[in-house]
Amino acid sequence: MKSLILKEVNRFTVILIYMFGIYIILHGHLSPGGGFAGGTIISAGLILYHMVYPERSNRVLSDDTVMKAICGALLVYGSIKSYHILHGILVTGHHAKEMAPYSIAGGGTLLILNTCVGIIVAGTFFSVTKLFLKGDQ
Amino acid sequence: MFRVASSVILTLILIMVLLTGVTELPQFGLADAPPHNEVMEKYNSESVEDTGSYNVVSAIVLDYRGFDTLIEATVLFCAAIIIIVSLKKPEGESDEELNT
Repeated sequence: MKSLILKEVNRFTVILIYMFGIYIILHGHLSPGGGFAGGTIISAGLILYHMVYPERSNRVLSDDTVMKAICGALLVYGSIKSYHILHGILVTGHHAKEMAPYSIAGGGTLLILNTCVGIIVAGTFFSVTKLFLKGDQ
Repeated sequence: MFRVASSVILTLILIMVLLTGVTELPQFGLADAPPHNEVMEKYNSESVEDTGSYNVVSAIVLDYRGFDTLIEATVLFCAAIIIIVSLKKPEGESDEELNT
């Protein structure tokens, strides 16, 4: 995209979009939202950034980096969930809640699980859209 | 001819199976339908003590049905992998080289 207005405005809006997505992911166990919703918002910000600054986006977030992040998040999620299931634990944040009610840490591992789901969703949507955009040019 | 006939028969069998499933569904809005059981009560009243999550949807998705979400994320991951494998061009290669 060559538009100067879009480039200058995008510098500020992208940060706000990322912040909103991260807020939704981190507060997934306290307020409506969660990994899927927050990940979609972050991927929208990444796609916007990629459309306006393609070179910089390709340098910072190459396909390899995105794929590694997705695989790592999936592995972390799978190992945490398998640990819970193998131990027969339904509870993930039971003890953490007593220490810090109504806070981000009150959810225990729910915070990590939400973050993993968010990374997977954001990375998947971003990489797929990037491929489709590449074919368009 | 044989392929067309076999695909038509296969489709008809599939439609029949699916429609049989639809007829087994409970009537809409019925009070004693299978989804209206004690599970709903439990999720609404005990999810905070059970999981420490104040968002009931998050508690169900990540804790009670956490394994389901794992498979869901895996499905998303597989979709991304398949699209990348089928659409990504190797570095430095153009369409003409791939076609020849």
